Amino acid sequence: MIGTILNNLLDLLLLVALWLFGAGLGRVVLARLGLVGSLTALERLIIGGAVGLGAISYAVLLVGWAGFLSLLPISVVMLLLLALAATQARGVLADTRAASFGISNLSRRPITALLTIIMLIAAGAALIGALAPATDWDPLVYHLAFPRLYIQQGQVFDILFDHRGEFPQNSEMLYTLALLFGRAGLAGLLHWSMAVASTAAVYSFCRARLTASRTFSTLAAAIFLTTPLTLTQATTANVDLNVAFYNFIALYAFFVWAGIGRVAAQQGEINPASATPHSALSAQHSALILTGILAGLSYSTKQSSVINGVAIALLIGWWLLRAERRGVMVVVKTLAVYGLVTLATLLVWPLKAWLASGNPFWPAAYGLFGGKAWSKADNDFQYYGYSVLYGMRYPAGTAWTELGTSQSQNLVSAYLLWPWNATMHSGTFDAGPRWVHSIGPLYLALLPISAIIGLVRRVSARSPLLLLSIYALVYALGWLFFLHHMVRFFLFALPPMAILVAAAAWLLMGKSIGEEQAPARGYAYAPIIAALLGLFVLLGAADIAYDQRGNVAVVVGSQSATDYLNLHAPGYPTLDWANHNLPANAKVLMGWGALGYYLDRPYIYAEHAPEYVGRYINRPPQDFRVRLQQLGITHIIIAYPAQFAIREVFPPGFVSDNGPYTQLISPPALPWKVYVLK
Amino acid sequence: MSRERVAQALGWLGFAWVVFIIGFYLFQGDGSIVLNNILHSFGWR
Repeated sequence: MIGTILNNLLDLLLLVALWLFGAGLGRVVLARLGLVGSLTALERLIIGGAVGLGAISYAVLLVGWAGFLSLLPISVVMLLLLALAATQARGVLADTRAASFGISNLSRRPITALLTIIMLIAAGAALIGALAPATDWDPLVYHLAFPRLYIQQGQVFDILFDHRGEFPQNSEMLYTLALLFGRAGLAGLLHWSMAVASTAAVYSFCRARLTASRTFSTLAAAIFLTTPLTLTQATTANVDLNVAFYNFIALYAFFVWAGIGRVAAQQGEINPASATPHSALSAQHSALILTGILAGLSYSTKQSSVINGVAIALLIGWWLLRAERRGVMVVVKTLAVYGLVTLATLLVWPLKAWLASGNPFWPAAYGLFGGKAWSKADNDFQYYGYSVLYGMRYPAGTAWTELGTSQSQNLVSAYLLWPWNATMHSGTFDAGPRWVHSIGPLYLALLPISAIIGLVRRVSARSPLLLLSIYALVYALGWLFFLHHMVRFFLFALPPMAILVAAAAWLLMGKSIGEEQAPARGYAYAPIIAALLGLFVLLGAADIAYDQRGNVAVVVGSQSATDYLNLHAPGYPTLDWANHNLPANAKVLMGWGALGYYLDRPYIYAEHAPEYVGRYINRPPQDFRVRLQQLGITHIIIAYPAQFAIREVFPPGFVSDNGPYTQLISPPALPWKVYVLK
Repeated sequence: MSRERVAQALGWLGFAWVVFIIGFYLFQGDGSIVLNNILHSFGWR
């Protein structure tokens, strides 16, 4: 028990160390760009951390891609980077002290103290989930599974047996680093830390760039953190919070570029004299480069961040044309610099995908680029079919388990009513059986109000709230037309949306935000609005605490990890059996729902890119056996042979308990079935 | 009507919208799951 607790504490310590390492590396970049003086201490830590962790990810990728993914080469590279980061150690420590002092001020007022305590409870409860061994689908199928395969092979090799295999994987590179040093717990913590970092970023943004009010800034941060979606994601080693964080930090850098930050300057946290860059670049140019770097890093966490890059480009155009009244040529030049820096930062991922498959966005944009191991049918299913599978085509309230079986609804009304449907019946939008992946009611209740206040009062083109609204609107349109209609994908724009929610509530309560004056004062209902906000902040925290109560035992070590995994990780007893019983040189075909992370043997997936294995559904089974032999497959593990007909890949009758091609070898009590290839 | 009165009226309209959304969410939408859980854990339903 003591051992488990110490182990978890070590992971937490390593997490802090990694962030400080990242902040140091990022500070090197900020110093080179001459931006150290243009940012507050908290901003230097957060933005620096984002840049630095991105650099660490790329270092792991480049060493791993070159085939040197083992302890010694990675340690040498990390030590070199650490030496570089150490040049900024004094600055990072001073910033940490200053930022902690600023945050400790929150205890002075009852309302900020209360919100901070609720946030600590929420983050603490999510931490329990993050420290528990991974059991969720996405990490087990790829976020953690691919890093483990890379380490097994000593290389970040090309994965074409899963349609996610060539996605940008900056977050997974951090998980690879953690797993390489045997710290699986650290991988989960890294994703959790992105929720904390995003919350800190929301606070920092409001405080330095919007308003001097600590109460408002704390409220916005609390609304973001206690959204059920944020907290649920924080318990798993997914990448969605990394995407949310990097998207927001890129947007944040745009505000630095636009010079919106008089608040921080007035507070004396930014010294305008020291804001003059030391390099040959102008401060504005430096911040533009920083924005490009961060937009590139956000793409490197997920392809969908193209929307983020485009939204920021539109904001840059808006700012120059409408706020600064500059000419079109200035816009073109500025966007060229921004675009080139963004492209240069993200280039390695599309390059890798292109070399592996012939399609830089494999398997997305299949119609344009084609690509190996994929087909039009797969494209239609995954990249069109899925997007209407969730939410839009089903009557509101259809249970997520019934998707694919019920009647399609009128798409016109679906496209008009999605904000309502996604809020009230999020199960239809792949939110799962509980409300855990849902977005809560505050966004639908307050975002339209922030829009209406803006429209009625015709705010200035320079209004930070207007800029955030443009970003949120572009993102929502991107979600509607380019992404799978999952509520979870709102997370990527949730930080700015949470700020807008807080702002709408604030203005509605008759308070001002920076230069944004409230429409009127002294509303009788203000306390009720405050109470409703408080209720949902509290509900979010209480729900995650209630949800995670079952994970406390494994985190403090009174339950063993094996017992926990046997109970909670899909198919774990089968994989554990396979690890003990399959020959050392076995290679496994994982079919129909089987997840690979806990399997020690090398494997490929059957159904995630069926063209890779070959579609043998209408072809002779003998040919399929030859294909499997070519791929080196010796065994097949199938999770749900009864529920999912073995189609698309397997010829009918190929897999049977004792047939001409396969024989069942796993004991009957195990949840999944293991076959040996005859 | 003065600008102040318009703003006041719009404010009340906004407040009504917020109450409607949150009410519907808690009693008919996803929030009812949570509400039921809470009531259930207190033995009220």
